Amino acid sequence: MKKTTFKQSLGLLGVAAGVLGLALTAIPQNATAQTKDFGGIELTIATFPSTWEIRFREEIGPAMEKMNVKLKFIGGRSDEFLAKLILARGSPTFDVVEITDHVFPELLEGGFLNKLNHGNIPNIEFLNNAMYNEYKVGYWQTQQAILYNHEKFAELGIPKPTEPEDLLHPKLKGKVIFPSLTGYGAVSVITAIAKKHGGDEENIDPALPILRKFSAQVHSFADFTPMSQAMKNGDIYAAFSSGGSARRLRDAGVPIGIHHLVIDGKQGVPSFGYLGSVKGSKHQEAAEAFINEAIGLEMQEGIFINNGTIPTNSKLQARFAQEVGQEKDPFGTLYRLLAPKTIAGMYYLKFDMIDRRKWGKKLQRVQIGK
Amino acid sequence: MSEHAVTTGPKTRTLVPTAGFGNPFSKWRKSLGGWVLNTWVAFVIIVIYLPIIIVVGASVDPGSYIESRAFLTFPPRGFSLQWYLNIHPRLWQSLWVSVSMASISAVFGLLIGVPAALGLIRCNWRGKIFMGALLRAPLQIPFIVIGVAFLQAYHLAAEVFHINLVGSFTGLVLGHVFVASPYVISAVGVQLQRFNPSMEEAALIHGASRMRTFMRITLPIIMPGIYAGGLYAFLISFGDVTISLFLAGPDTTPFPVQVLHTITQDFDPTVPAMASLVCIGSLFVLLAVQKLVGLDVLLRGGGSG
Amino acid sequence: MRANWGLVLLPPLVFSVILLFGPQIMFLRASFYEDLGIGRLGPDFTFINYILAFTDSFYYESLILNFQLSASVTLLSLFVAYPVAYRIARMTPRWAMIILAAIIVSAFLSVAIKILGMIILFSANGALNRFLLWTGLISDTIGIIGTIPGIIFGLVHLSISFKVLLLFSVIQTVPRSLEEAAEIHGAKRWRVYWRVVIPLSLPGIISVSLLSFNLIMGAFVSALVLGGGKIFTLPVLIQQSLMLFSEFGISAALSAILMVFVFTINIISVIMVTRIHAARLAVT
Repeated sequence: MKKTTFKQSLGLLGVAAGVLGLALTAIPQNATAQTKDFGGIELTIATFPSTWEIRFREEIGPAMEKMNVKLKFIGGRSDEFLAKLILARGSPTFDVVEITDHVFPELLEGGFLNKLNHGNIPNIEFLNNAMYNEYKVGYWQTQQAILYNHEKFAELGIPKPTEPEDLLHPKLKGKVIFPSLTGYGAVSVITAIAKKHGGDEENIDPALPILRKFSAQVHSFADFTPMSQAMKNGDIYAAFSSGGSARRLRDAGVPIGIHHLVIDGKQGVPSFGYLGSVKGSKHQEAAEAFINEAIGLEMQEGIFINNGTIPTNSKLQARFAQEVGQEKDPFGTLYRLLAPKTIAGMYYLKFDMIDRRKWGKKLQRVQIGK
Repeated sequence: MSEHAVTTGPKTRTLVPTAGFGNPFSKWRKSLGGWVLNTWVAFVIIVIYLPIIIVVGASVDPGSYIESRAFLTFPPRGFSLQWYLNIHPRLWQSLWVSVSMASISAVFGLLIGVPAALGLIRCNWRGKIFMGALLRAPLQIPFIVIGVAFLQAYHLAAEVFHINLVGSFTGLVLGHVFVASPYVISAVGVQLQRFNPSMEEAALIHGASRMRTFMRITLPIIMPGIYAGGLYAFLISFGDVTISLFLAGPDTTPFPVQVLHTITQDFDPTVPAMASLVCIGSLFVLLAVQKLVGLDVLLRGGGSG
Repeated sequence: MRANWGLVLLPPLVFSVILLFGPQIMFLRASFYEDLGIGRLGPDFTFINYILAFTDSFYYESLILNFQLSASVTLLSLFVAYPVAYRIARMTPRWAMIILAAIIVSAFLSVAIKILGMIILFSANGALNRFLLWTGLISDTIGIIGTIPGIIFGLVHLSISFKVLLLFSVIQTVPRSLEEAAEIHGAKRWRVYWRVVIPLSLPGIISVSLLSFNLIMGAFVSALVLGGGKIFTLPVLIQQSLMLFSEFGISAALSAILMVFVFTINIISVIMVTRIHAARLAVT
């Protein structure tokens, strides 16, 4: 595929998708390099724990086994892996690392990433060129949104939320879960609030008074499990989370409503996850083979269906776009923005303007109400 | 505690006087105070078990994967062992890591703690109190500090001495032995303090070898302390998340760390099933202990001192 | 014979001292250098991290909160656990065995899974909240996450099993014969407790309480999950500075402060107990 701009390629994809339709499902072949034999090495992946690890094992495990690579996993988050790399003093204990946008600059500055040989990652041709560079390859996308229990909202007479501050409604005191302010999940919500009040990614100060109000009013700051459990129990009526979470909650029987964040009039604020090869690892080539599989069809489809992320692989994006608006919606496409046009029109956070540590220092304090 | 130990002498083997002698406290059942106390015990046990009952109950919920992958449902809508049958091998592996790590930590905790207790009580070195404080110091270091400091030291050891402890089973055990051995020292120390050394001396005078004296006289007396100390060491290591969070590697992730990940980040319905199995498993272990040595021996040793 | 015992002491001592000082010194060294980001430290020896920790209310208030939480949880769990431990120690062997087994089994279960159970237990629509609302004891539902009473309940709950076990073995050392003797001499039962059982078990109570105080001061997982991101104890702050922001200097300084603080509390308690004890011996 010729390298084109993001929008152009998405437009092309839309057309391609329209033409090919579901027929694409019949062509599941990945553009894999010739099957290599890595001689039974162990490749350690530092990525999210629990079901995410299981997904990797199930979708990529067999393919890697064919290449004679045994997979091992360390569970955690991108910022924790950075700390572990620093502690490791150049002898890292893992080969592939999960990278989230806000940690990438530090990983790069610390010299913890290998330059990737894109030749070993042939599936990269299915990615939009904004999705990868010489150090990282994007393999998942989520879209942060306001999730709410529409039955409860109707019962209490609260209007449908259209922006974050709507969740400061007095009737929602103690009934909202916010993602941890210092984590990746909160970046888009904070930016949305900051931009509305005259700030931006670089200057989040205008958002701080609003965030303080939230801190005084929210049930807690938490990730997926406590959020979904509290939503199910009826302890909370609304949260900021991804469209994928919304689908999981819907499937589990929670009357969930969703409103995607809007920034600068653009609806949908995506966050991306990448993989990189760790400097000091002895298995860079195997790491690249792994990354190639991670953007391959099996894994991309696996995490779309099971974990609720949106594929970065454009072949699949196009395929799932077909599901939008169908009566039966097993994949929960209602909750995720999938149409190529919509994806192209989303607001893309300017991560080069975000200083994670500067943000973190302020937000840590705001979170406990200081 | 040593002040009183002098007056008490070696303890009797039974927990309480047997029924034949009449239980002097049987009148409790009738008195108001006794009734209150019994109710309190029952209340505390029930409160301790409430969250456990919820987790075990929710683990048999028959909901489909789609319905269950976001949260637990209690009370269960029926009965199904589906999650028990679908426990991922990596959870079994992590349970195995936990069990072997805690057992080995307990054994090494004893190997460190028993001689330390013997030495501390028996020797008359000048700095004895100071040494005692040193040996108990790990109790005063927050686990999080131990985790970070050990991880950093392991990386340095790898760089300087080429000893690979990072993420290794040995490294994990080392951290746990460090925090668990003071519990053994305390438990064994309490037993030693209430035991009269003249018995040993008498045996020696009568020509018994030191080894024989130790095996025949000293060891049986400190045995309850050894069981209790071993149990505490096991529980500390088995239940620890904080230290393991730093020291664990891909093959050596203990079960509680997996649980933490499930609870804070991404839910996996087989984890509550596994936790319930741990509960049932520990019950069987205790039954076995009861059959072999008697549970009372586990706890007759003191845990303080 | 005596020299022998000293030699027996030597290997454990060497083991402990190496593990005690090696890692800690290395780690704490960082507290005397400035943080330059990504784990890099400034070249000059400085107290800047300590000055920051003691002048910034964000840090020292979390230490105070940490202390308040740990002290109240330690005391509360003592009041809950002591009667239980006492009753078990004075039960018929059969019942004692059953209840001890129940308590040990509960101690095997991971902290995090118990907290998940507690979250469901305290859910707004759960049986517990509905019952309490019905009785009129509460006017609004109570939760366990992110509130001080919730954290205290959770931490007491999590420390109770281990505490009952430890206190049980302490009370075991108080001979029943003393209690019986006191009762035969006509002392009322509460007087027996007050004048015999509690004073005799006091040194044990203190050391068990210190143990649990130390454990709670350093508790990270329970504080993290129960705090719900709204309450930061010092261990949570140390973990965040280190793992989220890779600030080795400030996290080492906070660790050093936490360690010195816990150590001081332990020393003070031991001295106080020795004094009280000496005073009581002098009186009687």
